[in-house]
Amino acid sequence: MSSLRASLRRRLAVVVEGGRESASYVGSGGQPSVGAGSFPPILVVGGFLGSGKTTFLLGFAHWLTDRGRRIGILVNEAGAVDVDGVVLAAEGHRVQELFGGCACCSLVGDLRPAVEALRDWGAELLLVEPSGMADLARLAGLLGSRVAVVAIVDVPRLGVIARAAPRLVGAGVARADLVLLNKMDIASDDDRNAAGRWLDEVAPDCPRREVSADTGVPDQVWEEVLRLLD
Amino acid sequence: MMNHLERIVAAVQHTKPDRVPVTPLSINRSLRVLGYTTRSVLNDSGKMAAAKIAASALFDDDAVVAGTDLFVESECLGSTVEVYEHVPVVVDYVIKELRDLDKLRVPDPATDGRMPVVTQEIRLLKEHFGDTTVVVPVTCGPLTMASQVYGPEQLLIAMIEEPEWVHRLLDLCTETGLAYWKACIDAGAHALVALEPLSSGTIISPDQYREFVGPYCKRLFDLANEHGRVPVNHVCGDTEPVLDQMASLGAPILQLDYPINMGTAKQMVGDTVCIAGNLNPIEYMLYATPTEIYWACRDIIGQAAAGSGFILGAGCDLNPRTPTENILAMVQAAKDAVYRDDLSIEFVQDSYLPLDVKPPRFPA
Repeated sequence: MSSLRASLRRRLAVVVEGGRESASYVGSGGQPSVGAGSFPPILVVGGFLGSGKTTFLLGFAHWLTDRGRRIGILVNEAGAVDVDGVVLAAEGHRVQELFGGCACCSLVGDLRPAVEALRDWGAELLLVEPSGMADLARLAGLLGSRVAVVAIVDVPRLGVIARAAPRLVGAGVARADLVLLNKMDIASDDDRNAAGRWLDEVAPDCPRREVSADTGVPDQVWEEVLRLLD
Repeated sequence: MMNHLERIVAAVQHTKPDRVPVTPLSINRSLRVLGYTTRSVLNDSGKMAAAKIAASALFDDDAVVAGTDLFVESECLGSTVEVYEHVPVVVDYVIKELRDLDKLRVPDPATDGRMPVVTQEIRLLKEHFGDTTVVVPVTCGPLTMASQVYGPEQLLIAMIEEPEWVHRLLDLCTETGLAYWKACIDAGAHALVALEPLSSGTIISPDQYREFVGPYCKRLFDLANEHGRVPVNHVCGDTEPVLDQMASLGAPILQLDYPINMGTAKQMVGDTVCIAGNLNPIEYMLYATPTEIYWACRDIIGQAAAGSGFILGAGCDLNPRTPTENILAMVQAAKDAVYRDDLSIEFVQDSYLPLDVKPPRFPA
């Protein structure tokens, strides 16, 4: 083997000494392998500000609590669960916050460690509530294969929201495994029809259910959400 | 051999660099070279500069980024910002109603918030490097700054319901940006980056970009150009729908995120601007192997480097946990790609090609 060919096989060794990094070339070696690892089933709950995703998430957490499930909750907005987070923790769940207003850039790099921490704590199921600005498809992709996405749609305000952030909202719904049309108790017939037409356009094949998270989600909807994680 | 600054200038001017320039975007990541977290040095110009100098020596890349985050301006405007290890976040927006806007004033960069910290860091970096490398602060673009003052989703709704108030807010944010940019220019910055994640094509439409982003960013870019500095336009996510608009605003460098195909971007705007990017900062830079990164970078170089007007880099800010080996693999890919006189690329070696492993290939 020529010295040139040998030089092509060089690898880097990185040394941390006294907190300071340095690097030097060394001989060839194995490649590091970094994978997503194995996570419990994960439900990502997406939706624009005010759509009711926190209400939904807390309702689902309580419903799971009643059935003896040990769940971990990951939120990425400061104060998103607030006092309810304390309540959930008292019920034996773990709430972890992942900070950052926009889930692109470096924030998503912290997603896996946060999920790993909840897994290591012993969570059977993970509920993730990203910021309303999150790219749901990218988040779901980073979390491996046992991920389901529920998109919460604020039916009375959809007309404005879909114009305010058309690509963000449309892409989130398009990635969803289930769309929950929320606030139906205060939605008009026009709101309902407009939401239906919009969904026919952006996510025609995605199942959709009408709910009102504030007044209570029927058991059959919770069961359907849980089945997404099977 | 060119120095770092000369190499970047050649790329911007579409003349011949000696090899492909590279800026991995190791902003907060650079602090870890001396074992610092963002929170520990946020108000310490000396430590920030020392870490950036050490990182430049370690990575041997072509630019040194001053600052740590894009919350400096909104914090000065009155929003409450907290830093959780390395991620700053607004925990309280300063205005709850757009009509409260009149209570705000343009900050004084000499005295307010962390602006003097960053400008002092620029001075220290310029003193150390002179004109051997590019000293470039990261700053916040007007629309993103507005979102940190009022809330991102609130702002997007207001763009529909109260556009005249949004324009007033954007005007204030632009004035804030201009004051900060002027201070950075006076401190010696060679280039200035406007970070505009909220204007991503992943979030807003081209029409919204035209009304709420372009005119305001252009004012920042015009200021830098008037002072002979290089403005850089960075938008996260998929920017293909607004690429032509971005290229028309007067910033000679477009820093593009990973969803863009760099070959497509080169075809669309490569004759008029220098494009920089765009390896995925998480899925590749954080989680892939050095070999995978090296070959992915060579794919990007193959797509966009010919003809000059190209800088290799990550698509966005690196996570602080990004392995040093991965950053060095990106830099090595650039060092291995030299320009011929006709501005085509010749790879002089295959630094990360084990003899028993075929080079991996990845979809664009």
